[in-house]
Amino acid sequence: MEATQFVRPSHQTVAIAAIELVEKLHCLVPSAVVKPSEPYEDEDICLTIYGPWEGEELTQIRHHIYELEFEVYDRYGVEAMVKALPLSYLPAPASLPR
Amino acid sequence: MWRLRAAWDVLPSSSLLGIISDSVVTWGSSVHPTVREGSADGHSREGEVWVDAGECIIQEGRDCSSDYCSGSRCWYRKAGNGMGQSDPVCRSPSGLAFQTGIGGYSSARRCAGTGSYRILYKLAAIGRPYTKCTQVTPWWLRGTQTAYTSMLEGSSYRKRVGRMTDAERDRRWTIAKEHLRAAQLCFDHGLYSASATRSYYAAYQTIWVAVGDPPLGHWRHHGVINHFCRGQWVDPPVPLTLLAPYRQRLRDLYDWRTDADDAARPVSRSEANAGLTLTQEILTTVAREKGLPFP
Repeated sequence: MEATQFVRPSHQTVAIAAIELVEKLHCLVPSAVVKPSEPYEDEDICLTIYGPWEGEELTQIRHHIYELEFEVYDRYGVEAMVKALPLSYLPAPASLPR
Repeated sequence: MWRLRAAWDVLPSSSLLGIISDSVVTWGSSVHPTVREGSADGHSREGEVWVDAGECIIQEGRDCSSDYCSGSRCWYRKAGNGMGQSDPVCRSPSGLAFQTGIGGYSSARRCAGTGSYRILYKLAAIGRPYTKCTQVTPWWLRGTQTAYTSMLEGSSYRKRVGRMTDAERDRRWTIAKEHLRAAQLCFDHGLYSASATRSYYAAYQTIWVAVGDPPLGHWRHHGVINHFCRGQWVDPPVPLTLLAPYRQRLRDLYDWRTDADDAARPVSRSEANAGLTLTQEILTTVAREKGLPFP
């Protein structure tokens, strides 16, 4: 697919990388909740993943996720930040308008 | 990013030779590289640029006692995955990653009828990055792209990327040490989250001192960490595997920093301690390499 002036190739790359990353995260931890988030600094992709992990398990899952981030960076030059947090940090859903 | 890519696309491949020749000096002996564009003996795909570095004797099965072992005509690195794992024995060329001095990866094919191999460096994948899987820009190649841009502007890669005034270097180094001292004080007083945050910024400023100013005026956090871990800021450049383990540890530290500052997740004592240890290691390394006063 050719890029148009409205969709720059760099944007396409980020989009492709984001999709790949989310797919891999889903395969790695299917029970987790993945949400987009605002960048912490200036990352191209920023996601938060919530799952039932604490302590050492959280560290382990983070290390797995780092590998995915590095893969995305090495392959696409896209900076991704996936923040793994315990499920208890999942924000409460916004209340529906009455 | 866009600007880099644009520059990469328009430059003739022959212009690469200056960079390669300069870099190969650090890599090996009397090789005379030439640049090929397009097909390179079946190794390349559309849009890739390869550098033919000439013939090289590979001694398969040779025991390596150090990170590099010297063949009769060139240097080659122990087999490894580029992320800190290495093998004590040099294996077949397909398993070798060759030190280029500028990063990049390589391929080798056996020359017919001889015991030598022709080494081909894959310098970059350019061209049509978004239509196929041809946009391959490994982190260790990014410096090469930077070199490309720098060359357009009339300065060499090292001069350009490593450029930093003494005043700025001293300022950043002083701040880095101050952050480290604050991290230690916070740790001693049980303020582990604050300690992790200070440790991260101590490391960040130190890394900036190490790698110099960014080529385009702005270092991004992941970018500067990756640039640091590639080890090309050290003179002479160190093997890619040497600083690679810092990549994950720095990423850990960045997570603890955002835990503390953004997610309000308390950082544990062991995490803060690990951050402090890592930062001290980095400051020590940079102080040694750059001749800076520490502690």
